[in-house]
Amino acid sequence: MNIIVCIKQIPDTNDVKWTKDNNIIRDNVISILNPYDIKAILTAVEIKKTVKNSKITLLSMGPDNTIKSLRYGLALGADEAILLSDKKFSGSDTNATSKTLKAAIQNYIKNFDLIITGQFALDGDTSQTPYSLASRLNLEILGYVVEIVSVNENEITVKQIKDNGSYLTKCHTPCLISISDYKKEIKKPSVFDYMKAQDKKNTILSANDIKIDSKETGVIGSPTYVKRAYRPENKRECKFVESIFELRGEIFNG
Amino acid sequence: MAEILTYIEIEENNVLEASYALISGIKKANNETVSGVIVLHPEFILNDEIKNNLKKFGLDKLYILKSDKPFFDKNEEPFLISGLIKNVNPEIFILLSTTAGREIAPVIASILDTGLTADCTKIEIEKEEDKYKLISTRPTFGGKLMASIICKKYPQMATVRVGTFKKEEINNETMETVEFNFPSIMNLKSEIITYKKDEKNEFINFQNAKMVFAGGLGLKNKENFEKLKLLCEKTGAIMGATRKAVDKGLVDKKYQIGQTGSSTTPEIYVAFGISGAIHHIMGMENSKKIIAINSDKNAPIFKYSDIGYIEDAAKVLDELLNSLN
Repeated sequence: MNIIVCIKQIPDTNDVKWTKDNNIIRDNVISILNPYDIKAILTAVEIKKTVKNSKITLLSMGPDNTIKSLRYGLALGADEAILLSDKKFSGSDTNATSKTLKAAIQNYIKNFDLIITGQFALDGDTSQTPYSLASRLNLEILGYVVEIVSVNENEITVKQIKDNGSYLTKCHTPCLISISDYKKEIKKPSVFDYMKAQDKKNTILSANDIKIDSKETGVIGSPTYVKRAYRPENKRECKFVESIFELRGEIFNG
Repeated sequence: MAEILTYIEIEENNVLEASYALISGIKKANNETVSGVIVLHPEFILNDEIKNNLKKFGLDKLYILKSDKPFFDKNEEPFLISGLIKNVNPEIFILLSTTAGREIAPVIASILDTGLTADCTKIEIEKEEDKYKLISTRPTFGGKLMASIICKKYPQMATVRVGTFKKEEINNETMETVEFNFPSIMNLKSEIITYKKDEKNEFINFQNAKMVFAGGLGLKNKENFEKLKLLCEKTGAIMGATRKAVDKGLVDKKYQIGQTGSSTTPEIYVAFGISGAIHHIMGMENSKKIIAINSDKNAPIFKYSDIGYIEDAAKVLDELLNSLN
């Protein structure tokens, strides 16, 4: 089974620093691999244990330093990594991102049975790219997956948890699943895992390599743009009460 | 004529309260033509009460589409809805950012090759000559930054967080109803084997709450959350929780308030042992009066509160319960 795992390197949102004018300082921000995507990789590794002769290809779009996250993914057990890195890709919204990923999958990777993604990326938190990608590849998507119930070369059965209940769903491959479970323990790769990962193939591809028209990607290919970004204001001033009686009054008497 | 289309979400035999709120919120702020699309499933009956409610909360035009799939199966809906949109060309299309909305919207946006802004907490619609311009504002960077986003293509699409709008009666005099019969599609490769309306993941209706009492890790254990639940039952408050408390298994996920949970804007919001992670703040910061109880006087929650009390939240919970007995 050929599995593609799409991953995103994101700024650590716990580490955001501000300029005096309330702009986010983007230089020197610590980058991490999106936690949901780590689960996506671990899910693929689990499937590989069940389905013989499986191969896991990591796919990411981002600046060159994304290679750090891809190496981490290789150390977790993926077999190969592909990074889409080109100035033409920068500023892509989810529409342009999904077109770019689609081009890489269709024109470069070509053969696949299953695509796995994280449900959300913690920086943008839009949860749109997996759906757009699936739609553009004419695949069905099983979202909010918390568990793989069974899997073979032709079919996968998953448990999904959504707002209105839980689902047991099966789907013929090829299809896309997105993982929303982020609670399971994450095992850190060992030094040995990293050493093994050094021998694995990683490839950096440009817009030309994946045959995408530059009008379809980056800022030009994105239908949405940020008009204004600002820091949320906080207008409250806290008055401290000294006793439970005062507190009770504030809660129950207005 | 230009119009603003909304997605009317159904659950079993009802329209979601939040869908009425979305319609009335958009209608009230803009007083333009607001239409809605509803996808009927075999088990759903569109009775007069629902139609009257839609009219009451400001809907001008109702588009009815039909699917032969059960209500919880949303795989077909994006194809039906994009068919409708190609027919009626709304300039704006807004859905809720429930899981259903968040699953349907990006597929529709891809089919129509337009832009979509996810999980907005503010929606502004400007009119420029005859065109509507949608300005969708959403938290990003884990809530540390607000971004106002514009879409260059049509329809301009957004999903809006539940709780952004309040349900208000508009009382339209008329509502036009249009039925479309698109053929039900294709052989889906996926099949839902079982669907369980899981008690644990049911939606808590924070939207009409007057009082919300929410607990965080400061409540330490499940017993204290049971006590918080009891306090809520006795006072008519709705219980909420932080993501950290949910992740630790102290309380069910349905109670989660914040970036990946629900939003709430009650008259009074009380935070028991909540540190004030920005993730949580985003879901409650628009409450009218915010009261925080925390033993750490430096907890960030106090920056977002009107009233603070420096004390162990579990102890305060006991005292409040005792005083009610």
